[in-house]
Amino acid sequence: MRSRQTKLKRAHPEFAAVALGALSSLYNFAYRLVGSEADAEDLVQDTYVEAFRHAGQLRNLARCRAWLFRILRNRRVSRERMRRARPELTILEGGPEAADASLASEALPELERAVLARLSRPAILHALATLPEEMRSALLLCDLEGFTYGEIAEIMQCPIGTVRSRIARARAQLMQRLAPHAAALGIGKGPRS
Amino acid sequence: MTTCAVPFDRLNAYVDGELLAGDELEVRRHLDVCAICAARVESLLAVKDAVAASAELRPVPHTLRERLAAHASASGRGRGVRVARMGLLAAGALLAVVIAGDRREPQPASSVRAHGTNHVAEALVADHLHFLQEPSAVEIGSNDPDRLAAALGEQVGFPVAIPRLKGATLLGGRRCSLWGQKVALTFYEAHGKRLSLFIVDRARFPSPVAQGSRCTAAIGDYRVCLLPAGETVLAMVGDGEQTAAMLGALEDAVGARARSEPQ
Repeated sequence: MRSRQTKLKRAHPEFAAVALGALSSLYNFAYRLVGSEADAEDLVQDTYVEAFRHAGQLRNLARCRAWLFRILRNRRVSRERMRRARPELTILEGGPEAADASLASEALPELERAVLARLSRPAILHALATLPEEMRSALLLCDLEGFTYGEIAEIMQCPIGTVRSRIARARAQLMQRLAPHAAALGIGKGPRS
Repeated sequence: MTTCAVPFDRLNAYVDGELLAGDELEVRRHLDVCAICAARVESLLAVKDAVAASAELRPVPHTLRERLAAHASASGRGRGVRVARMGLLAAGALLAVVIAGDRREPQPASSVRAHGTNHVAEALVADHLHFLQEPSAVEIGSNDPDRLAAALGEQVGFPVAIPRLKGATLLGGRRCSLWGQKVALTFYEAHGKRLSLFIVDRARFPSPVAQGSRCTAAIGDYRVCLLPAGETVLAMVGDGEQTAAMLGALEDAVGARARSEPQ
């Protein structure tokens, strides 16, 4: 038994360190999804309980971080399904029609980096919060966590093309929602015509 | 209304570096001649930067860490599946180390005690370990610090200076993302093992950095040493033996560069 334990330790000697190293990222990502510290704690705790339970299934430690995000996202989706089954809760997602309209790129405003850098953080956070969750998740995994489209597809369990489309739509919607803030500062431009 | 043949999601994939080399070249050439798409790419980059800049690192509650440690230990004792037990026991042990480092372990005067620094150190150690396991971690292979610095500086958007570390061999580097920020990550070989040196824009480093070098308490077998260098913060990550041996070399290299630069 000792020799088997030693072998297993060698197989994943750094699992816990890598998993725990992602704790801050997971907690912050969860907070951005659920918008409350208590709910983020619960979600992250569920994620780690499941991860520890199935630690032996992780074959490639390099995938550990993406694997944890995938577990977290699955837990989040399960919770949302349960909540949506309750009639008193509202649906957070925008419809596919709204998403499609956001990709009418000829109508998109032009924004400059120097201009957006002057916008307040609350304005940006509010714009992010109004995105449908599928889009917000894909965008945050890309822009904040640095995952590739392939890794995001693995985490969200969808085709890469869907990831590409979600991120494009998310940015298009953000452009539309941030443009009035830029205009309010007297520095925005309208759509190119 | 003016339109262009290049779809919006293709430009979007371009700004994320997600196009194949041939497609990327095609888009790049198109941008040279199409002001509409060039403006659209600028807008996409503006939004991407705004999202990254909105990142705010919230500290993980200690109660959460403690609950996880308790759960890991309890499950480790009761579970029948040996593989899972090993993961849990290892997790419990390491959680205990991390918590001890956070709250109880006596630290030397030079240890980093600023709020949030343990979270920063954990993330750096996790990335170090992640890339140790990743076969294609070294995206830009070079043992020339200046050439590597030029390549990485272009990728991360701020000036990067890569130190020559006496006793270590530069292997190369890559861009990575931490706390929503672009970070230059360089790899060295020291004492027969890989050492990571993260180079972060100081204005965007998520915890206060004092003058001089500071090392964290051990996280597992690993340690993080922070050293401000000009407009950047250098974060060296390796095992205890490596960081102890290489910290002096890092300080010497940063000091030599500072002395050679015009005041």
